[in-house]
Amino acid sequence: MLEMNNITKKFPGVRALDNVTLKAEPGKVLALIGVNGAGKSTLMNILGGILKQDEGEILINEKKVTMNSPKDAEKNGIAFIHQEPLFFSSMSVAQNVFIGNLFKSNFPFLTDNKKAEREAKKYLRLLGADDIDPHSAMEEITIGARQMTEIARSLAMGANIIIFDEPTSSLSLHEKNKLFDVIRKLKQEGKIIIYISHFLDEITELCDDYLVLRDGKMSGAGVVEGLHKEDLVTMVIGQKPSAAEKKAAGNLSEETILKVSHIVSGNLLQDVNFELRKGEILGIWGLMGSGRTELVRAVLGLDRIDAGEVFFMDKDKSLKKIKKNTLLKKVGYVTESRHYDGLFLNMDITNNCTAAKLDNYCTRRMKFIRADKEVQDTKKLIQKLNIKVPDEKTPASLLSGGNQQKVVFAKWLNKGAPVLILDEPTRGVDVGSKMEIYKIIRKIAAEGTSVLLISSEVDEMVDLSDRVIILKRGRITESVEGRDISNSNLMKLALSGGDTHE
Amino acid sequence: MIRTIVSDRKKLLDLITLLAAVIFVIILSAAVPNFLSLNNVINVLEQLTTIGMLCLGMTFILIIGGIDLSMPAVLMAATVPGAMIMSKTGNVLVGVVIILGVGIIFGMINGIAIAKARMIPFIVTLSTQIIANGFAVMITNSKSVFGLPDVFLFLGIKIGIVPISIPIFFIIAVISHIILAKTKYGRIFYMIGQNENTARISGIRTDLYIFCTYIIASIYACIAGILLAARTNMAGATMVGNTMLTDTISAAVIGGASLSGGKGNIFGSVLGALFITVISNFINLMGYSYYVGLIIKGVLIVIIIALDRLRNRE
Repeated sequence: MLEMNNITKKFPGVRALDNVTLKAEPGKVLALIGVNGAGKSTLMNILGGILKQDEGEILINEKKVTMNSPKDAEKNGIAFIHQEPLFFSSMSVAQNVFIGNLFKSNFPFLTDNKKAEREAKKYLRLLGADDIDPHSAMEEITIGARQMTEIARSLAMGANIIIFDEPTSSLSLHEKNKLFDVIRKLKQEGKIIIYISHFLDEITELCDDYLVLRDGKMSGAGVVEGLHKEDLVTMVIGQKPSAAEKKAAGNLSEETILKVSHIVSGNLLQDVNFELRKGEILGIWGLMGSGRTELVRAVLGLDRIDAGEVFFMDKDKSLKKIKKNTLLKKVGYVTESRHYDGLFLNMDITNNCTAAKLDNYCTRRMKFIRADKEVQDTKKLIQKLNIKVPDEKTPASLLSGGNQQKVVFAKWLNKGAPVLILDEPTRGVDVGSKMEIYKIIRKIAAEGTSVLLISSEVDEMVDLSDRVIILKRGRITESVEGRDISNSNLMKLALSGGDTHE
Repeated sequence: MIRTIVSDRKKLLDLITLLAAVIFVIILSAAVPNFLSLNNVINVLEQLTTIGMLCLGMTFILIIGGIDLSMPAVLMAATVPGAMIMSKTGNVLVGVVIILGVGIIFGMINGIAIAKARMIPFIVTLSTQIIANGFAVMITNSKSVFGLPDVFLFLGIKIGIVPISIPIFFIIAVISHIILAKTKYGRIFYMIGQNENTARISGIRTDLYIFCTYIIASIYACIAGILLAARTNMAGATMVGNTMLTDTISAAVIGGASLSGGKGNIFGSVLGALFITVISNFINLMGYSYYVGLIIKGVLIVIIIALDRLRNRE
């Protein structure tokens, strides 16, 4: 029996966990549910010894334990199965199962890999995963098999408490069913299992008990059997799913500026179609791993696709098929990670602002850069977007997250692209800048720019979007407009039914 | 506050570097009687043109975040067949076209492998280096080519006491500087070196630019080869020294280029090349053996790069 009693954890300015109590019994699966930022990870990090609670206690089999490090958690028989399995890719399955305590060989300094493989086979057989060869390298086997290896490792460590953190997000349906069988098997053996998931269907299928967190507080706990899904959604998002709070649909142009048809890319995207109209903000809503970023990267030609076409409105107002790689020249793209592919961190703000529109700052023949014009326009942009910087020659790396993001926006506003694609436009941005960025997005949309918006924050989706398409496991399942774009409705649409099409 | 401390330290280190350079020159001129003589200065500048030309090309490559180990080998592989044709037929135009043609082919091989096939520059250019070396030795049967036409040797003559290759080098350096510092293309090179992903998202055909940069580097190697062949009236497997590649890279790095890309400038690279040439000259004049010379050179390069890193650390 695992008990976490009255756990409270404060971070500067927020109560990440407020008096949360978790009870998990042997031979049962406890579902831990909540949206991003609800406190699930904090709670699990406390259990894993990564964070320390400010108040409250942890009891295992009625004995009080303190977790000062991940090592302590391991000693207490706690193991985590991560969303993305952690492993050493060029080492064998057996070596990964016994990583940390490999068997010593008779020769000094060497390890006994044959013995490791024999032992690993035992654990894998226990899990019903006989098909995995302990000798093969981790990088050669499927994601599902890697996950099995991770579970085998936790058994080899002698774990009694196993936490699954959104384990199905990158699995195929077949692998998912297999995983569920294994979890049921572990359950029969009397292990304590905590199962974290977004998908309510999985929870009703697999779990016995549940605990719902919202804003760091417990918003519900009990037995899964007999529970209505609607009630669960209410607990997760804190309001009745029917409540409508969205403005009426605005009058949108009927002109289509960007048309995406039949995009297929491996398992990630399966026949995606949508149209973006002129001047509209179209939200793409879906859970993490639903293929949101993959979709825009595929549309832009940044990643290979197996099939599909993209059409873009030309100057003569007709839709033309886009050749590979050329859409980036026409549109703006605020990427998920500004450090990775949004900014030139070591270049000054001027260079960043003019990067996407260099031709505008060149003499016609010799392509000499006109620095004076660059500085002039950058100063205007700094003022327009209220970017807080000493001067326009400051390197982008010295700015705060919010101001860096504004520089990224400045680059695209300067380009004046008719379509702007925003992937998590306010990630890692302070509240003040966030509001200003919302204002900018609304303003450019009102001026006729079409916006494709991806966000994990439901409030952002509801606030900004004119229309929302729901993306689930690489398919668009629904499109909602006007009053239907509400906090609760979007949550419900994203959470319900993980694989309605399979 | 932090910034002023940093800049103060930077100023101090600048001062130290300058002081070290001055002391270095004083010691050199005291130890080597002829060091500051007009003849020797011109001699150094003439020698500078080879490493200098290679270093200009390498600067472009390092700025986009690549590396080209094949430059000296391409110099040889391109110059040798051109020189053979010239010495046989006396046709300078065909010879020069062949030199540039072979160089550009090697540049294209590098460019396609790196920009299109996304292979690692180090490995690709290491391979082309071997190929180019093999090619040059194969077609000459390890014999050097002499007897180049007089029209070609014009590039090696002196006007008064100044060899014509010196102004040619400096004109090319100024043009390179203008391209890098003043034009759109230069800006794009720096952008790619700073962050290739951001450059691509910003709508720049990064693969095309990377491809072109490797061709530019090969053309610079060809020009270096032409000047060198004209000066020495020969072409062959001995025209490229063992240390030419390290000299070139060291010169660019001393001049402020970074092996991780996005940094460097022509002014610095020319100074770096000058520094390397002066060291070689010093070792020559002092009459040290080749191996002692290598040790001295290596130690000095490490010291100067360490000083520079100290200066730029924040």
